[in-house]
Amino acid sequence: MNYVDFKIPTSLAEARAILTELGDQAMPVAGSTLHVFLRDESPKVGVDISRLGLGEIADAGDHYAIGATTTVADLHAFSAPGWVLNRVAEAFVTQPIRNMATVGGSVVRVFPWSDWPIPLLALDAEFVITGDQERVMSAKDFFARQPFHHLQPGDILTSVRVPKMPANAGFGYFKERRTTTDFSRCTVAACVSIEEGTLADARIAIGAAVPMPIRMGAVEEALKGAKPSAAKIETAVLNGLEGVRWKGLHGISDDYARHLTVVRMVDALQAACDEATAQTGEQK
Amino acid sequence: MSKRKFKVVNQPLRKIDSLSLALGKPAYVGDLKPADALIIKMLGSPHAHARIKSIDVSAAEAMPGVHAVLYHGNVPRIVHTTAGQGFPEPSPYDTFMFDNKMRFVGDRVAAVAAETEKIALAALKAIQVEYEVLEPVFRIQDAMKDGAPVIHDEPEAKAVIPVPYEPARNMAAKVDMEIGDMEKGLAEADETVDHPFYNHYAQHCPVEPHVSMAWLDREDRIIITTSTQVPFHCRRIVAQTLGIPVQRIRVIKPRIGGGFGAKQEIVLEDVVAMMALRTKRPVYWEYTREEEFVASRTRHPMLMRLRMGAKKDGTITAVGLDATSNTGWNGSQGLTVVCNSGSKMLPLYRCDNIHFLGMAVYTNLPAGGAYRGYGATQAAFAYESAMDELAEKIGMDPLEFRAKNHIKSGETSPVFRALGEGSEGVDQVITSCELARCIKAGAKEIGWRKRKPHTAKKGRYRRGLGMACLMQGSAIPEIDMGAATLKMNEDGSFNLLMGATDLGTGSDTVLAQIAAEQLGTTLDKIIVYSSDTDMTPFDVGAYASSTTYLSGQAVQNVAQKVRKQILKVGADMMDCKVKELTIEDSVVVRKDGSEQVTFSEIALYSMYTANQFQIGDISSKIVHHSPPPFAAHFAEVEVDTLTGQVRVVKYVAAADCGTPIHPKLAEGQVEGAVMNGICYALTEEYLFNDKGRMVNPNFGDYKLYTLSDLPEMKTILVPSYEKTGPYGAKSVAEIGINGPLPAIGNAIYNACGVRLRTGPFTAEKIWRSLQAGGEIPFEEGH
Repeated sequence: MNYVDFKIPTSLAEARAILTELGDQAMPVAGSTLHVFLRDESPKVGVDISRLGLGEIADAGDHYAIGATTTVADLHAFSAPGWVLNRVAEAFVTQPIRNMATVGGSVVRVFPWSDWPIPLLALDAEFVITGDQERVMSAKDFFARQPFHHLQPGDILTSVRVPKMPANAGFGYFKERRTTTDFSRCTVAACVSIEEGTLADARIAIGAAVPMPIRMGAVEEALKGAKPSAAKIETAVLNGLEGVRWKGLHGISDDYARHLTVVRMVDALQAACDEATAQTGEQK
Repeated sequence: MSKRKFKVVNQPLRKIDSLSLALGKPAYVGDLKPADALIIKMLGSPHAHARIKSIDVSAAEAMPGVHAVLYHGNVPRIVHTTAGQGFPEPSPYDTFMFDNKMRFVGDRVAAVAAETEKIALAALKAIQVEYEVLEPVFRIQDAMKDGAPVIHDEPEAKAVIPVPYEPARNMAAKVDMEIGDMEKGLAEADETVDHPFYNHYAQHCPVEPHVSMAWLDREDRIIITTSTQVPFHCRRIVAQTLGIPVQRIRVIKPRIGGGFGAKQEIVLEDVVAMMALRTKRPVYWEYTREEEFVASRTRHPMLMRLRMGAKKDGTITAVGLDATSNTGWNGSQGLTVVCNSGSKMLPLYRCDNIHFLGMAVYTNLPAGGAYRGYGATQAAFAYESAMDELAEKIGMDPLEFRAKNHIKSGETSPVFRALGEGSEGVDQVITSCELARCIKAGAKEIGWRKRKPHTAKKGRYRRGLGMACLMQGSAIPEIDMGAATLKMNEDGSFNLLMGATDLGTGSDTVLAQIAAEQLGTTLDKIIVYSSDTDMTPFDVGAYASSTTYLSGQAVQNVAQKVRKQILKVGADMMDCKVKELTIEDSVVVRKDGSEQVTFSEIALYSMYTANQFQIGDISSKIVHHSPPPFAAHFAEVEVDTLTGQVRVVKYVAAADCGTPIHPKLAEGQVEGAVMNGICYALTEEYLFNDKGRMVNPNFGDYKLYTLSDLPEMKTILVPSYEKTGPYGAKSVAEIGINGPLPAIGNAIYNACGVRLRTGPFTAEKIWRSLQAGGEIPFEEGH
């Protein structure tokens, strides 16, 4: 990045005014870890948005509202009923990077190996963008294309709403990497809820092995209303892959990327089902 | 010399430079950069094989802030080798400061020295180059074919010692050795194995990349401060490359942020020296990480064929090792690395019929060089994998098979004489070997007795145990030389001046311990200075596991001489005979306890009072033996048979390095080398596109373990006493890297029946092998 100036607004309104004025020349900055991967050499003005009061996690009833500049370290340390993102944070690189990286920075630009879009898709998170008017986008819409394209000059992603996991729900998350500091080669997140021994809801998202993170709708549909057996999960996964374009990263073949993701989808769903079953005290 | 209780040696004392490094005091080349230094940047070739048809640097030269541009048209064309080795070098002369032929992606096209990095980079973009693109060759087997593109077609390319060298066939080195009759030995065997293996590319990945700076002093001498393992070779080769006398050059080595062999090469120093001459300004050049991967040096990839035969009773009847290395665009260390593949592993097991064929082949890929293990790493993979396979075939426990056959103290091997470093080797009898105890201790720690065959294992996650035995060497006999100067100061402290090169290993501490032990003083009284070609005596440098064993003997010798001088002065002062005196804790005392003088009193006396002279001396040492350290490594792994993922659960390294002069540093060397080897086995991989460009030259994509990936590790130092070494010491720095590839490979086989012959052991390879029923077709990799 080629920074020619740096602004430090202290309120959301001030930040928005600066961003509006600078337009494409502005680069919102919080944790800055993203910038390692950006190759834009055009002159930019860094706009520090880390002092706007957007760094808290709030209990908002049926969901947690995560301020966009909340660090991954804070997501890691946070503990509350229905909160599972600490598990995702645990597998997010190392503590020094967790201390700097923010949830907003981790989702506004999606790289093939990005971690956070996958669990946020599976959890049906919502994204709050503050512009001239506040608007809320579903995870599916938000990640349907590169998210920063949703932002007009002056817009700021201010919050991510993550629904609380209900008591009868389970969460499974797998990230495949060679070392703790490695980029993911396959990320899978699954969230299920069980009612009276059957899957009332099943959501699963995948990333890294595909060009952009996606929800696996066909798999989800096949599981809803089913008994959560290993055979059923495997069948649903294998039958639900149509149309997925596989992309192996960092030296692995597309073929293996597909295989790995399939295995981990089954694992994630099984782990989620096991957890949900344990939560509800029901037997499989 | 006999075993005795040590006071300084064999103690885990504080590393002498630890505090200053921990405090971040300026220590490295980058810390010492003058504020007015010009920055050097290099334009790399975009083509793997090409000839420069025309080059125009005028626009770059005209840019404000640019002080010089170097390219093949304006520097001397002097053929040389970049390998920092003894003279005359066993590596071929096949390199020029700049050439009009490009031999790999990243090859030197032109260098710019400018006021800032930004200006230098802009100037590189202003250089106009027209290339004639030539057909490249990337694989060993392709480079050896008739009609393959010739990489070194320049008439100057030559070998400077009498060894086979055929650049017209891309053959940079060849060695052929037979003891007994291998084919006869194979015929006598009850069981045989015959398999190919491939060792892949890897880089040393020192935290500090190559970095050098140079300026002219008031006498117009070139002062080079550089991160090097070989300051004296550096001085000689830079003088040769620039065509100037050695006396015009001074090379200073400050602290080094890791080398592992990469800095046994002259990679930057010729250009910084030439730039200093041209610009009359201090100049500074630091490799980027990408340049470090591509234009520095690598482990030589090797294609191997390993044939072995054994009788049912476990007697090995034949061993045949064909090792062909990919030496890349130049032949640096090509001959000696491949020789070491034979000489450092083939003596490990007794056998009467041994054949070794070693070759080094040019390709249009990054150049190999010295890298910890130096050929033994590659051979250990093939040999120790084959040992396991043969043990299984004859129905013997692999541990028992090794224990029955490994060389022991008092024994010799004909390989020692037959195979040296580019020439005949040196006879030697093993005078210290505790490999049997290493095997026993390691087996107990890993729980070898619980090991079951892979056929007895079920379930998705399967665990396996594997092991490997190893040997290396300690310096190069009859070739390597070290020297040390020691002088006493009036407060009883000593200056120890050494050409030996501490590259982060802690050798300054180790050598100071040896001096202190011999003198009868404490470690804090030794002021170490290493290395500076103007100030310290010659030493070949830090390579071939030589520093403790070789330079340690030079230090011990000089300390012995100085000790005698101290005693003589003490005897004069106390008016008695030397034999009536001894030294205890920096004090010369009469054995009857009646009188004593301190070191400080002795130094003051000799400087100011009577019979005045400087207490001090210099000593040189050349070694006649290369006593091998030995090791037994054990790995426990867990394989996910659905994904092929492998996890190292526990790793045990039991090593016999003689007397560990500094046990903590020795342990650190073993652990560091094992981690290095685990990464090599599992994660490190050069990925090239079809044009020969490395596509993952950064730590984001080329993966190394960090401490958070560390498996459970146990290092066991099994002491022996090597009577030819200083205080019984042998080497320890390299051997540890040789174990993980075969030990983990054998453990994977024991876990799930998959035999891998090409590194690294990626999850995808294991998965594909499982799909294929245990083994995939062999393929030469990168």
